[in-house]
Amino acid sequence: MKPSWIRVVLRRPNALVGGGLMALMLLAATVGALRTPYDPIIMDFDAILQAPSAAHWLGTDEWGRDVLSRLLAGATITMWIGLLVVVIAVVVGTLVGELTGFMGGWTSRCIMALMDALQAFPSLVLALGVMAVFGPSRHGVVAALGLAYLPAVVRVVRSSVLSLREKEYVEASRVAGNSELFTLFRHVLPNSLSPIIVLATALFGWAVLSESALSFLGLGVPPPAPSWGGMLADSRNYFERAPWLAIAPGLCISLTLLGINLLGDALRDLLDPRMKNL
Amino acid sequence: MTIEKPPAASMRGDDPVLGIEGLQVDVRTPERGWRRVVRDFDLELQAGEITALVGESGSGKTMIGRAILGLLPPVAEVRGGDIRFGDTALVGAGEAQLRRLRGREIGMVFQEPMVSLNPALRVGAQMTEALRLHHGVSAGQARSQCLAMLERVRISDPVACFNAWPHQFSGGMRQRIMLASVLVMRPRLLIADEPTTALDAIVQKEVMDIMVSLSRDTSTAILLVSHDLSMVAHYADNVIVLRKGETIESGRCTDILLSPQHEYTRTLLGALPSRTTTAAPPSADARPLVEVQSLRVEFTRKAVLFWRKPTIVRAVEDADFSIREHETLAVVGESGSGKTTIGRALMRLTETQAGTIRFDAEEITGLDGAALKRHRSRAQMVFQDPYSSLDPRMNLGDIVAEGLRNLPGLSKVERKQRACEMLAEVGLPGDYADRHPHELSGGQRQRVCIARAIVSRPRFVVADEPVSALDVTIQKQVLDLLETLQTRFGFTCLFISHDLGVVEQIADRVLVMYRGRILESGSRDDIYDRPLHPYTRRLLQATPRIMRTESGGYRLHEHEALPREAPPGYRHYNHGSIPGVPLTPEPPLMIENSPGHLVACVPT
Repeated sequence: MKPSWIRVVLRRPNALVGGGLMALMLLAATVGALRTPYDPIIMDFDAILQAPSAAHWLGTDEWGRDVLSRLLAGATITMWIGLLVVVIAVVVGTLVGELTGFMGGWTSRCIMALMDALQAFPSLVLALGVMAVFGPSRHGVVAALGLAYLPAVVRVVRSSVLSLREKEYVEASRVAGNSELFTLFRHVLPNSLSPIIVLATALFGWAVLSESALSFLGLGVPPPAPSWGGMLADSRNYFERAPWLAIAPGLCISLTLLGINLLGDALRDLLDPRMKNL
Repeated sequence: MTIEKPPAASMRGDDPVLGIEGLQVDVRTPERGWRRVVRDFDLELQAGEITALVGESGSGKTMIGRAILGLLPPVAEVRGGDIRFGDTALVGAGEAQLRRLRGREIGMVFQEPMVSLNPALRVGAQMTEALRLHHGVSAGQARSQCLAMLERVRISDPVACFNAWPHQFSGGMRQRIMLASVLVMRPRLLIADEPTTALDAIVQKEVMDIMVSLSRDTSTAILLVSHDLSMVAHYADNVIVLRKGETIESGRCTDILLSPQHEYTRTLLGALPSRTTTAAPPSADARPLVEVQSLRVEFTRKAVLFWRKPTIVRAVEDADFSIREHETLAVVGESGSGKTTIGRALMRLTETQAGTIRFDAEEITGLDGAALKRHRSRAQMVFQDPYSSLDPRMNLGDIVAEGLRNLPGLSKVERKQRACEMLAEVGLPGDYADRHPHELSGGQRQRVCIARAIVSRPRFVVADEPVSALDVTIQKQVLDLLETLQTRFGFTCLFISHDLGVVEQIADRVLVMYRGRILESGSRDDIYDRPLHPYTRRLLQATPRIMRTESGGYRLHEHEALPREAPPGYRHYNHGSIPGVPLTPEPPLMIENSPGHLVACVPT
């Protein structure tokens, strides 16, 4: 008999498709970091805007750079930014949300007021502000987007904690003599995971899109380093003459988003003992 | 005393209002395909008659009610049989045709009065809406008809009610308004799905009395769906007992009560709580384990506008009582009486504003840190809702073992070991320790809660409505289990309940509460046989009960305690608990009427 988790995964096409897509993208990112068919940065003015061919599988861009190579190299940067943003926003946001939601009191109120103030700015504007201060760089993008998405995570986590706090099993843990922190991490945090996972997957998508928006405004990953968002932004001017320039990174972004959303759904179900028999 | 029911309004042998023959309903389940939830169900309901469908959860009673209206949930489907309403066949009728019948010809009252009125519309708007839609009367006529109906459901100021919002009313009032807005349509059939389950005993009696008398006047037939046999026995003419979709027994209510034929009906009736002649309660001079003096608990409710002062609600005021070692003290009262707050205060889950609580001669109101931890290893709690009191992500072994986490000197393995033993003790042996809460039924979950509470061998257990979410047969098992464990482990118990039947079975002594005040306290027999305070009497009279007769059958039992005067020199304390009598503004004194039997009074 196969281990149970394999059966569970096999029974969920979501997990399989999502996992497969994400594995593919991570593979692309790894390959992109190690080796690409052409150098993704050096320009080649003899091969400007070439359609896909045997030499350039996905064609070339307006500077004559190989799209496939840039796509692979861009995968490294884009995935890295997306993952880092999600990790920062989710880890910090979850901790802040859990603590403020569970403990209450004046400190919590102040922190929430701060979060509300942050949320009052559109996240992109906030990111723009941060980037303007730090200047365009990869880590700047990560910090800016992480901060911009923090309030959303805090809000979601906090609201789920507020409802979990009233559950009788939380009360029961208190009655058993457990400390507040133990109760929080043992009973409240695991039960608030579902919305966090769903939000984290959505965040990854937003991060990728925002990164492209920032790159488009010249505040993202500084050129000539490739990122999917930047490639998509640059393709705009040549859309009629060279549609492959938009299609390739666009498709990559879409597939990544699809993959991570499916994976997130499956993960949420896998981590929930109530769903085991379905 | 057996109650004579007035004969049903129509014994004329007309065509039935509602006829159901061979009804089959199936439900689609994800793993096993179609499952039958109602099998070969027959029913004939005459005008002015009340027929009750009785059964435990999963018996299909609600499905039948919904099938009549064509309101089955999307996963359910009528797979055969015939439902006739007058001359109309309802199975297979079009949506437009059903819509014309709903409301106008067939009314429905739902279980949850708190959510069945639209909070965004004034009461009047909701009532007149359907009337104008179906009967095409003018706004003025609709209004006068509604006002008349509100008066008939005994709402004291119909005009004010007509212009008020639903949230301004309590559950019982809303259910009356609901009833009025359904009956104002003069339907020929009223389907009442657990209409009073969410209500307290006294309110339940009022609502049921109104519903029955109104329908007799208008010769509306009622299909009463309920799990409560005692209530059904008091009000219905005919009863149909269901189990797992099958009709077990049907007939006149009195016949079925007097001589239940089927084993299952007997089990249901036998499971009704009754007074057992338990061993004498612990003698009066037994040492008190818990002593409470002048306890006051307040809650602050924030004002709507932030510059206003918050309002302070006194949930418990000036409570004095003690619980002796090994006894079970029950606190009874309706919702909002403060009974749960008292239990939570004893567990230190709620802060207290005044008074003392002594546990084993130690003051516990100021405890914190390690001392509080120690208190919680001696006192434990069983919660009301078995569906929210177990962490869904943990298995049962871990849940129960957590009760031992704060006992010194136990390894993880030992804790798990003892948890498994405890689970076996409450009837969940073997591999139950590895299961998760969602795999269990409500009764099994409550067993886990009990196991978790007493695995650390506490001296004191607060049981907050531990059986009120369970079916009667399960309720009996859990109560029996609690009693067995109490004999075995000898813990003292504070049992909180709104159900006087359950309390009668399990309590040694009883406290009666109303709006934060203790009105009466005494031994169980004092309270049930010789109630002093008018409120206690009213509570007892409002609780429908069925008693076993010598011949093995059952009969309805109406409480016969006579009104009694307050002790000489005093009159009964009244802060709203005695309707129609002037309030007594001064705080009450607890006067001992006979040894151990105290009642709230004020000097005359």
